[in-house]
Amino acid sequence: MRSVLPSMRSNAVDSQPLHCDARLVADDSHLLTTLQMAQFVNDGYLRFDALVPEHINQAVLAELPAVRDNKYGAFMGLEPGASQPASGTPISECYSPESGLGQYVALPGIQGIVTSLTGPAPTFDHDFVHHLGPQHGHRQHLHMDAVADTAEPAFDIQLFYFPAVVEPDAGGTRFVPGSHLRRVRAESISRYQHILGEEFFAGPAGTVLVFHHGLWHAGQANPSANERWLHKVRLNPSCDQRRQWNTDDYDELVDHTDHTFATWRTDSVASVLRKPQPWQQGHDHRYDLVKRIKLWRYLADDPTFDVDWYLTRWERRA
Amino acid sequence: MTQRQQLLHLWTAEAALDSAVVAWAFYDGTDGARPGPPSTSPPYPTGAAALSDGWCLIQTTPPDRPTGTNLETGDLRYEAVFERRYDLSEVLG
Repeated sequence: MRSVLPSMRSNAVDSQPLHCDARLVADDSHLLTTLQMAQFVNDGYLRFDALVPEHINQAVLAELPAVRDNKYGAFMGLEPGASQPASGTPISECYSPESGLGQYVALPGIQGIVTSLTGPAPTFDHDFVHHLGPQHGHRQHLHMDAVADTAEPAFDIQLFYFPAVVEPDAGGTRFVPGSHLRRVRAESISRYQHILGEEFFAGPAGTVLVFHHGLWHAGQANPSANERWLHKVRLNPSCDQRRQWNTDDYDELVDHTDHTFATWRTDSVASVLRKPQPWQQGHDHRYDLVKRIKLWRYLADDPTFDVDWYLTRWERRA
Repeated sequence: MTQRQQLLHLWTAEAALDSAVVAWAFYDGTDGARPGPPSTSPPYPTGAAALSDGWCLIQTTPPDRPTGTNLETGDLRYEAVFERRYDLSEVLG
């Protein structure tokens, strides 16, 4: 089988500074909208069903066993460093353009999503192949992937790409919408066996979930009769992450007087951000809302943005 | 007497035990020899409802201390741990 790696591999960590790669800049028609960005800030993920065409899914499914074996071999110390894209490589250079994975990351829709969330030309952190055969009982505790992190609002994204259908009974990835901005230890949240509003992925082949790096999630057992495949890649912003989506409608959707206890809108960014998750009830939800406001201020480069005046009332005090 | 313990963790929306359950976990020391909590989601609508069903509260969250970081969010804040104990002498010998 042909390698999915390009013949000339970048070794960006050693030889290149982080830079903006103009080869991976989406055209405006594939960038996310302001309300999609607000949904990401609120939920910590976006979902795109059957985004990847079937011929690419089939090519990727043919490649993933070798990618998995190389990955596991390196992981187990059998072939250290074998056939892996190097961390720090621009994502556009990680996979051969003609390979399934190369075609997947080059899709205009993927480029639009990635550019909107990280800015152009993010760098490859790592990828992994999660494969469970039929009736496989392995399951993970709930965790998040940012074991050590800062309080900065900048974030990585992780693309969860399912090249084959995952049926509702196949135990797809468990995740907790709205959990991404909570500062926790990865092992501490293992105690939550069930959380109201949690989801278990099921969906058609070619579906991509885009996670904020802090989103709580867990691989589940596969009680079905089918193979389950997931390709996960973590991407780091390499340049300015702010206002990278299609902001044409921004001014129409942000109203600095929008306040749920005064005059409020149901079609604004604030209306998306104030929607609680089922597990965020009562007053506790408002602490989560403040975290979302701060993330939106950063992403939108809008230091006076607010929802329901939670920050404005402090900032206006004489 | 051979005792076995069942543990039920309920996380509630507020510190009040009669506020809504938002997350839960169950550990069964009887390995299925005795019934667990209801299989509904959540098993009880509030922590207080678990008391009414025979669960005994053994630990709950202490009050928050006001600090400069009171807007920080992290683990689910209000955890109540309940137990039921069973005599399994007839089962385990």
